[in-house]
Amino acid sequence: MKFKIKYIIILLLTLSFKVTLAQNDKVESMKVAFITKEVNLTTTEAQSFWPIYNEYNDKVKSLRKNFRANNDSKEDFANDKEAEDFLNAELKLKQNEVDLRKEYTEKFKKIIGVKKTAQLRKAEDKFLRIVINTAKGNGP
Amino acid sequence: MLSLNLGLSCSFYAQDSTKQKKIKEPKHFFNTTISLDYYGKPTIDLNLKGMNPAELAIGQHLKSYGVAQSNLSFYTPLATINKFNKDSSVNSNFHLLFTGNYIVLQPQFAGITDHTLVKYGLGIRAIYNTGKKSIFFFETSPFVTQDISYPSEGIIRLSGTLLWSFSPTNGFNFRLGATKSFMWGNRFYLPFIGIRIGRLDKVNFSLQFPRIASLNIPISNAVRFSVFTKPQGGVYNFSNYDTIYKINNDKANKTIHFGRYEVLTGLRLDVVPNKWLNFYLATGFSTGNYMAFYSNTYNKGNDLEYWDFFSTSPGNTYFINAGLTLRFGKTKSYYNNRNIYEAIDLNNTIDPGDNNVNPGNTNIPILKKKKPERVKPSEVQDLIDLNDF
Repeated sequence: MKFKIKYIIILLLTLSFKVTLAQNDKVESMKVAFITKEVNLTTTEAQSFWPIYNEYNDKVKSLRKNFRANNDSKEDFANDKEAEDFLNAELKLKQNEVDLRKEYTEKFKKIIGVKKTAQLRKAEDKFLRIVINTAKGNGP
Repeated sequence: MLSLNLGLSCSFYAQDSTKQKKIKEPKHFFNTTISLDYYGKPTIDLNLKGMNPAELAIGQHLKSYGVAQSNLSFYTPLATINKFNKDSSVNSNFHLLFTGNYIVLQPQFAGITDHTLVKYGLGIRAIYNTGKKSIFFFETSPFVTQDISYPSEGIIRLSGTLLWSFSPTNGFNFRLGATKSFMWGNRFYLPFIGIRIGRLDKVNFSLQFPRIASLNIPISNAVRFSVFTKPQGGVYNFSNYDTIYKINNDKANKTIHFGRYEVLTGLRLDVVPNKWLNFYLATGFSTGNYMAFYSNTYNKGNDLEYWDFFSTSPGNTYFINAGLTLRFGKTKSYYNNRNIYEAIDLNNTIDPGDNNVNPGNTNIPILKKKKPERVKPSEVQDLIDLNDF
């Protein structure tokens, strides 16, 4: 057993030096922490709010990922039709985002009330400003 | 609104054109997870004092006792039903998971030949989150145990747990239920009583009888630390090749049963390099050690606790436990979704296969409160838009 234990310890120590610490979802987790602090939700409100908010975020992400998957690979447009399709797709993305926001704003209002829903929007904007300023500071 | 996900892609907001790619939305809240675990404690001479003559003969025959155990287990979500109230104010969900487990146990006795005991099985678990304060959990794991070193019968056994989990606040949870388990070295029907003080993503103390008591200290998403005490054991088929059981040593007694448990008390460190991988190292003391042999024929028709013909309490030793957990695929977001955190904790506390090998709660995110210092485009592209600049 001592033989096996020695190799397990060596393997784990090697792994622990080689890996970089968790980076994924870093900004997402900061955003949630930021909103939690800014919008002072009660335990009951939080219990209903976060599942719906996560659902909204998943849908927004899905919209944007779909758009990128279909449009990011094109460096140039072969003809006017392709360019027109791109513009329509982009407008549709924006429209879908607005529709989603409308739909979920109503849901948030039912759960946390109008005032806290407005606070949520302000908190989201505030967080985006922080991210944008950070990105500007570290940009190429 | 009710949505049922059974492995088919459904993207509600995809582009119009049929030519266009559709990105699959995550369907489940649980990742497919594979866990590898190694556990060992050194060989120690058996204490023969106070044994009756029959037990003394067996004790002298066995001489010493140690354990080496390797475990492979997995769970994967089969179906998730997500349901919203008409006014969208409550999100309840039902999760069906498929589980599996293969464990190799090598009890080490200096006086007899080496035996490799295996236990393998598949199971099903169902978790219903009411979306309010309650979660219901059910799992059943039929499994086969066999001594693969020598001819012996494989015997099918069944373990299972039924639980109600209630969280009146984020920082307090209790659980009530019942479990049929072999991890205390025998076949027991036990009540399940659990209590947790503290949030799952913060420092918390959890007592989950009969499985584990732990003080959990999440340092960050990447490093988690815990102090724990828990039993580890099981009941395995054991070939009577070495004539441990001498009465009627005929065909019917070629297989006997070996039961054992240890109470492990120690420290555990989980390192989480990314959300798809974590590994852990635990060490401490193995106390309250127990091992026993049960006759197959004598226990025929006995549906409750096995009667032993030999049992002993080997001395205390140290133990070492190391493991690796791999998670696959993407899940729906569950930040701050306390009920999903509870469901994840339940799923991790009750491991596939009734071995009390816990993959750890590393899939519960610890929120970072500090402001971002360096952001990569890939991390923020779903959060911001060019027009935001």
